[in-house]
Amino acid sequence: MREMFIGEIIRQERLESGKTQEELCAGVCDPSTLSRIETGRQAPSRNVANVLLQRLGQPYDRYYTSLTSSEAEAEALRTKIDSCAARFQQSLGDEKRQARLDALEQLGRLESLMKSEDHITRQYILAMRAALGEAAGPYRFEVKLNMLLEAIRLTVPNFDLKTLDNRLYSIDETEIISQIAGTYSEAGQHEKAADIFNQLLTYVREHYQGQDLTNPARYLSPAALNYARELCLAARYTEALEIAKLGQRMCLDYGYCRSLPGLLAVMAECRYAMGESERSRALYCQAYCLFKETGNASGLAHVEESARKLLGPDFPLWEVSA
Amino acid sequence: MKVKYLGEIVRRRRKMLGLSQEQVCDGLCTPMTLSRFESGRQTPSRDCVEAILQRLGLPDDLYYAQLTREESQLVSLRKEARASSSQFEKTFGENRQQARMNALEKLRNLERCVKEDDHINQQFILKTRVTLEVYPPQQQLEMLMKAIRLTSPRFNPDEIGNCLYCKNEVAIINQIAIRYALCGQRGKAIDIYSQLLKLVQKNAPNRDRLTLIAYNYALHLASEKRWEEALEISALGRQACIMQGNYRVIPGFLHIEAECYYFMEKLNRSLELYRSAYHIYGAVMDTRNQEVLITDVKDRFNLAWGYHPEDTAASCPEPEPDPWARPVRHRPAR
Repeated sequence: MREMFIGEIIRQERLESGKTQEELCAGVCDPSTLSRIETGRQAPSRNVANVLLQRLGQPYDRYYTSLTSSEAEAEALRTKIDSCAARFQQSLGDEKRQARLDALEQLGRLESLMKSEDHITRQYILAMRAALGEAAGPYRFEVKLNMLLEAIRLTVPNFDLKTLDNRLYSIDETEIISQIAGTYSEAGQHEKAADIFNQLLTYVREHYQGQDLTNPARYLSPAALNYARELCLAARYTEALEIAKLGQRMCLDYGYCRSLPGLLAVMAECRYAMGESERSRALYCQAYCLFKETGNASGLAHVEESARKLLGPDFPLWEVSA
Repeated sequence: MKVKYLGEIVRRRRKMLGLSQEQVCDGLCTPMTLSRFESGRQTPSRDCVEAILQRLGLPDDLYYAQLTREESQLVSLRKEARASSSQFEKTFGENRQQARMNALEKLRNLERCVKEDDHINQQFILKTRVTLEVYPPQQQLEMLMKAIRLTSPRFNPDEIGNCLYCKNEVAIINQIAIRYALCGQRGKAIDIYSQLLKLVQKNAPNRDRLTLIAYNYALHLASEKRWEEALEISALGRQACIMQGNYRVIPGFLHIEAECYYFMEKLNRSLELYRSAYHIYGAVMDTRNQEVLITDVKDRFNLAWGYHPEDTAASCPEPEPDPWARPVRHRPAR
């Protein structure tokens, strides 16, 4: 067993993927910098290494590194911000507002810490702000969309929704594209959103399903959920059901189930639309119990609302058939 | 950002924990090998490195290395053996015997390539054989004890906490506890689980084993009618599931809790939990355990809950290898 420097790893994976230096580093660094990194003459910053590895579909979180103290601080902040954002997604009312405030505060600290030429961190901050909104509330559609487009263009300068493929994306980049689709969805443009989610699902299945990645389901099943949900909103129930079942399989095969309750809720709505109200009820019960047990208040509220609309205001009335 | 040589990190961690080289490498490699590793002059086999990192509580997936061709082959043979063994454990009915044959063949392929003194792989082989072949529990127990002692020569089931363990060793100790229970020594099994739980709570790479250890521990406590303790451990296990995003084991915990409340005569709470467990078993397609639950609920509450064929897992294309076998759930004694 021989240990390798990060640049060697990047070079090896890049050669195996058949991509040129230009293709890999577009928007992240110059080709000459990448060349120096690959030959070990220059050490990449953690952010740059992450993006390069992610674009190559490789595990990026498994390298023993000696971070500078400001890199370490920035990383710790990102972790905090991510967990505030997760809380924001899953909670309601006051707790939600508080989570947003906490996240915004930490984002401010990250901003003051960040170097001005670090466009990768800038991208993360901008995208996160777009998702969270301001203290007073979420951003309007146009504002949010523009923030997200600006964010993605920081590292993908020629970003174009019509030609998503043929390019390599890091995980943060696919997240932003996903948020763009989500923004279209919120504005009622479901066909457009579905198209983007479809392309994203295809992309992650092709690029992130490598066995080496720590847990592919972390990226696969949310992508499936987003697409399935959008198809459902566009009333394409048969397709939505198929994608949702695929997502469920992904969750169970890899043992990472955070998207599972959402997928079940989509399946429930589809079944109802297809005239199978008993099956729909069973699936709603499954989604309900799972959201409840995992403490996801926001998911639970959505399921209740959806189920009550379709099955009646007394859901979940526990009858003899459970 | 520069990749540090692992040896430096290992040495620093070892010294931080106040351990000698002998303590860390006991059963894995010679102290001289560890010494050369720490000073960057030589790196032991990848399996050995992994085990050392795990024992020291260091994340074991935070490094990258170029494997030799030999190591590559061993790794892929072991992966296949693990996957087919895992598949066997999920197969029941008429296909089970064939699945067993497949798995045994993969194991033999691995065995052919493993050297006599490669304790780590010999241990894996022995442990897997226990799973695949049909031996009486007492014999299984002896084989598992032999397996653990290949890399932990001083293993003592009464004083587990005194040694350092890697993930596979923790898995074997779990299996040992299960066999003690099968041999009727449930008190001893519980004691081992109690020690194991403390251990994995401290040691980071092993923390993802916490869910399954908590499950077995709670199950055995409930069998011994120690309801409050079982509830406490179950709550701990459930929390770990949620944090890790591994929801497949959540219904198992709810099921145990439902049993406990039933025998504590808190029937409403019990039924509530049975119901949650029932639905979540369906969500994660755990038909076998859902069937057990349906029978329990019929016996106890005279309610007839059904299951839907779509909630049955069809044959999985390529199951993710699960090195940590879940025991088939058995009902707690009344």
